[in-house]
Amino acid sequence: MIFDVQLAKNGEYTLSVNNINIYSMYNPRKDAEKFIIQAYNRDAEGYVLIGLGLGYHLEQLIKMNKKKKIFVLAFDKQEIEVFNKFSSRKHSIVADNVELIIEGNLRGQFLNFQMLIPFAVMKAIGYDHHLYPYLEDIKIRQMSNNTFGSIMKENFKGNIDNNDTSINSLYKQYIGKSAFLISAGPSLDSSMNIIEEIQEKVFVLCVGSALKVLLENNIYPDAVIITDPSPLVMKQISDADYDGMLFYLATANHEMTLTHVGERFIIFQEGYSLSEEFSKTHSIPLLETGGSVATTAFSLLEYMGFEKIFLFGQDLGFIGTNTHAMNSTSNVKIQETTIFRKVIANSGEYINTRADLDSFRRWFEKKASKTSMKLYNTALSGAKIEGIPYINENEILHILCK
Amino acid sequence: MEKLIKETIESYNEYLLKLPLGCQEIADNIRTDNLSGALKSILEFSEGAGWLINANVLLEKNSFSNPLNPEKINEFLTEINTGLEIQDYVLVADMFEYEIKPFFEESSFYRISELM
Repeated sequence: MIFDVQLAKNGEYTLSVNNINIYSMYNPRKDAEKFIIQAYNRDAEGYVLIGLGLGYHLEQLIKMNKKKKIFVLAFDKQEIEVFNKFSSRKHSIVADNVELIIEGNLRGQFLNFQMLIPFAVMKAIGYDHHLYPYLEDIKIRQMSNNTFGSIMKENFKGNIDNNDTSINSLYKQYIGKSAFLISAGPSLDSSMNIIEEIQEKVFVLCVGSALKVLLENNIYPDAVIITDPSPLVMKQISDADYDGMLFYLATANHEMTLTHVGERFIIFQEGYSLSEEFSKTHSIPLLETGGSVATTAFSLLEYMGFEKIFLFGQDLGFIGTNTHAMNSTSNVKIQETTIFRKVIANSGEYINTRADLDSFRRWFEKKASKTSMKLYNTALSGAKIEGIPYINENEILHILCK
Repeated sequence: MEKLIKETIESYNEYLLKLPLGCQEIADNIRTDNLSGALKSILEFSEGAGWLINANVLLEKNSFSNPLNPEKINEFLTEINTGLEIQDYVLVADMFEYEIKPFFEESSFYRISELM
């Protein structure tokens, strides 16, 4: 890694790593303070700070917490040398509650510790760093919680009062059966015929953003799943004239749940404290959400006992700038100036992807390596998912109509 | 026409008054990793800055002069784009807090009395 230390405008040292600024060029200490003050969770059992840098983040963290353990990850020995040479707070790493770790394997070691990951540090180490995917998955969850934390709590309270059925009654009720999990990725547009043809032979579960596209194509899903806390999901179900099953996350938009006229099932998610408490006191299962509606749907189908799952519109990437199927309620055009990371598609081509989509891909790969279900991916132009092979229409027909 | 000019001047002054606070909010959102909020505000900022330049030019054509330095604003927008493209968000936050905010704090308002 390339470390570059310069004097900031206020006379303090500032740092860039691999040409990405870690701290402000004007007031580095104040910059780091703002991040720590906002991110700090006083209820955490301890803290893991990613990046030692010049010690500004650590300095603020010690100010706020003098007792609980703080682990600080330095990416290599050179980073420590830079710190020792330029930091005015060298004493901070010898504080009683601080332990420095160098390039260790972080996975699974710090349950209930808060990970403090400055975005700039992640950008600076780059996609190719072996810790990047791990840090990115955590960061995406944290940023989503920060954005939607209060609205999720409100939805949760409202949804509990719905008194809807939990998913207990569906546990392993579909053993030996097949399901289509339909998402709204760009490849969905080319799969409509096969879905329409076979819909009666399988259980069709679609994500909310695909519902109206399917209905317009004479496909009537058995169930729809909606997990988003934002009121924007209202449009996925309102005026859809759909009375199939609705599965929704306990934190999903409450108003949307009230709009649905068919049977409703509430899902409680792992890792969300209110859900976990409720699940414990009411003996209700928790599902792993994986961060997206499709990953939650995958966990649900596994819980219901399906033997085979066929993924449709699960592109986890996009060609050009369209993120979803053309008529999906979630389709957006990405600004063409954006620089995307690339992943290999089932077609062998490279396609664009985003941090969140790539994180979901990793989640699917992790799940695929552990599940006994047979999994198939129909998105030829979608990202290749290790453990979920591509399947064409003839092969689908062969499996389901033999 | 006079009514339209008066309304444009009022909107211009109102927007100019709010801009420094908006710049600080963008910088703070970036520094606390609220990137989605920051990016949304940056888009609004670039649209607002464009409107400000247009309004300034149109008012100038109607003999209401108030130097704004549109080249400098365009320079800011270009630098912001560069920062966003390379995803150097600290650089973008610095721009908003230490360059763009002071620039708009020092920009002058139109005097409504000129219309009377």
